Order: sequence, then C-alpha cells, then structure tokens
Amino acid sequence: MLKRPSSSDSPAQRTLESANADAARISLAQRGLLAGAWAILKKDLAYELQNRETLVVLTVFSLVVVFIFSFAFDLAEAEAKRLLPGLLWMTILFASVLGFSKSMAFERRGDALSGLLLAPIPKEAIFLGKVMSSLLFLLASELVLLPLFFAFFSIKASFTQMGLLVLVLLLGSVGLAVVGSFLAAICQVSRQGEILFSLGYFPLVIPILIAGTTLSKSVLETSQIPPGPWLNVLIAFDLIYAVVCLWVFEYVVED
Amino acid sequence: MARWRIQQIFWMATALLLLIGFYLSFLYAPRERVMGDVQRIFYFHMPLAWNGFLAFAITFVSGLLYLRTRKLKYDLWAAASAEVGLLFITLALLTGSIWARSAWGTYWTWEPRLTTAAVLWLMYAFYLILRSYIENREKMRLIAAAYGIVAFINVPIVFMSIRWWRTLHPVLIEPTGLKMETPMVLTLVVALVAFTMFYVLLLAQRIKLAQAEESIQAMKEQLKEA
Repeated sequence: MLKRPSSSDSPAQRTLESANADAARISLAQRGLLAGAWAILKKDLAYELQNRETLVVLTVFSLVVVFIFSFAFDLAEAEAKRLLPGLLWMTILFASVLGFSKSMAFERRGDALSGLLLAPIPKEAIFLGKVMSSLLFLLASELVLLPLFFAFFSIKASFTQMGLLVLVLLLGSVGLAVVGSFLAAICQVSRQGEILFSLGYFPLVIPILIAGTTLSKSVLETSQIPPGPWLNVLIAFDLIYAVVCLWVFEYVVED
Repeated sequence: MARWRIQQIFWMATALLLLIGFYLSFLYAPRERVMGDVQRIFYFHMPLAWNGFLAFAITFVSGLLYLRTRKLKYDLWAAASAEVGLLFITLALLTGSIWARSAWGTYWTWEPRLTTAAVLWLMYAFYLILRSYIENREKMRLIAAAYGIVAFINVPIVFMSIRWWRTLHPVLIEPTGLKMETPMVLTLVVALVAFTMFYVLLLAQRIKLAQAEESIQAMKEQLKEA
C-alpha cells in the first residue's frame, strides 16, 4: 500500500515533489530503455556476425523463392507487373517467419534469456532491441530480394518508383518486426515454438499484407502513392502495435 | 439453493425462447420476395455472428482484468469465451456461406465483414492452440491474456483495411440493403435475445467445467507432492 504523505507538507509542495520524482523516473527509464535496446541490438549483431545464421538463411531462402516463382509463373512483363506486389510481399512474409521465429528461440540455449531478464535494463528494452535487430535482418534480406525480383521478372522501374517502393517496404517491415518479435517472445515459451509462430503470425499481419500490396501495386503502375489511407494504415499499424506490444511484453517474459 | 433455482429458470427461459425463435424464423416471418426461403437463415446467422464478436470482446476484457488482478477466474472466463466464440463464429461463417451462395452466387467473397470474421477465426483458433501448447500453466495464462489483447486490437484494423481495399475496386457483389418488415424485425430481435442467452448459458457451463478441471489439476499436484 502507498503511504499517505504527512499532513504537514503543503499540497503545492507535495505536487511539486511527486512531479519531480516522476520526471526523474521517466528520464531514467527512457535512458535505460534506449541504452538497453542498443545493447541488445549490438549483442544480436555481434552474434550474427560470428555465426551468420539468420542472414545466410534469409538470403538463400529469398533466392530460392524468386527462382521458383519465376519458373512457376513464367510471366510476360505486363502480367509480372500485376502479380509482382503480391509475390514480393508473400516472399517477405515467408522470409520474415524464418528470421523472426528464431530471434527469441535462440535465447533459450543455455538459458540466455534468464540472463537478459536479469540485466539491469527495463524489460521493454529487450523487446525494442529485438525489434531493431529483427528489422535490420529483414531489411538486409529485402535489399537482396528486391533487385532479384526486378531482374527475374524483367521489370523496369524508375528512380521514383524504387524510392517509393523502398519507403513502403520500410514501413511494412517495421510492423512485421514489431508483431514478429512479440510473437517470437510468446512462442519461445513452448517447445514447439517455431511451429506455433507460423500459425500465429499470418493472421496478425494481414493489414500489412493488404496495405503493402495495394501501395506497391500503385507505385509500380502509376509511380505514385495512391489516394486513400494506405500509407496511414501502415503507419497506424506500426504505431499501435509498437505501443501495445511494448506494453504487454513485460507480462510475456514475467517469471 | 436460490442460485440453483435461478440457473434452472434461465435454462428453461433460454430453451423456450430458442424454440419460439425457431418457430418465428421458419413459420411466422414472411417469405422474402427476392431471396425466398434462404433468407430465413439470416435469423440464425446474424445472432451467431453478433455473439461471436461479443465472445471475443469478453475474452479481451477478461484478459485485461487478468493482467491487472491475477485472479484465476478472469483467465477461465477468457478461455471459455474464446472457445464458445470460436464455435459461434464457425457457425456464422457456415450459415453465411450457404446464404451467400444463393444470394450473391458465391460461397465466399472478400467483403469486410466476411474477411474480419475469417481473420477472427484464425486468430482465436491460434489463441486456443497457444493455450494447449504451453506447459507451464501460470505462464500460459499471462501469455494468453497478452495475445488476446494484441489479437483483439487487430479486428478494427482488419475491418477498416478491407473496407478501403474494396471501395477502391468496383464492387460487383453488394449485400442488398435489408428493408425489413415488422414481423421480420420481431423475429430477428427474438432470435438475437435467445442466442445471446444461449451464449451466456454455454459460457457459464464452460466456466464451470474449467473450474472443475483446475481443481482436478490442483488435486493431482497435491497427490504428487504427497
């Protein structure tokens, strides 16, 4: 129970004191949050540079999928332009499953997760760090994926088109990384975590799939962002999920 | 004793109202001029869909309450409501498809409400799978509550996305505006009330069952320790 402040304090002083205390706590927490997230990101990057588990898998997977799609569909340019947005986002979704489902699972090895949770940083920092590292790996694989798609389907795109497409991919990937990291944290609790992940992931990211394909399509056809709320859908999804997942994350990893 | 009495009365009232609802939908409500008898499925479909949404909303609220208070009963409510909700949404999707085949000429179309219901189905099926896949029960309750919250906020986003998506394309098939006559409205209201009571009844039974499961689990653990 909270202790009631003694009656000798004036109400104004009490308000000031509690406001100061709040401000100090918030700034400390924020510093801890960003510094902690940065530390997690650095740790994941260092691990990845040594083992190259995620990046190699993601890149090779992207290659395989582009290869198979271009075989299976064997498209003329006009058709390719119509189908490319859907194929591109499907590939990104599947690649992200490979990348994200491991991002938390490998913390179970040697019970590394307990170590992370004991670290003197806010729990949210772990989540934020995981989102950043997942996002970085996903973007890296998209960097390989995008040129391949254009080459294999022989689609010509102008500079503006590429720029806008990159913007759309970036916004979509942020949402994918947020939802993916949250779900990865949930699923690592179970022994069949990676199977669970792929079941739970797709229904949650359907809004990104719809907005992402619609935007990409319009960018490729008219080289501009279409009228309508699509960009806002992506931004809203990213923000809403970032806030909610950050908030419930501490319950997910609670002991 | 008094509680038992109230439950009995509620049981009987629900059964009676459901029967009246069946009578009204099949015999009393007039035959729809364009769609014919197929339209009668609407008196089942709409209450089922409404209760499905209600059930998931209750899962969401119970999850929030569980995270706040850590009282076991809220977790049991959430799980029970998700299970009953999944049943209702499944039936709503089935009845809707049957109706759509006759009215729109197709079993399925990417219409906002249909798509939202389908996504709901997938998300809450996952919710139940998640619960059964996590061995540590305390952990499972927290995670289920967290996922229940994250899943529920997806519902309005999906609905709005599909609505915008569809309006950007020419709409070929559109549900005709329901201009309903008074007997039809009456039938619908009775069916809605009856099915909502039925939902409450199923929910209460499922919660009782879950409580029994929990106490068996507790006894087993006690025996293990002994």
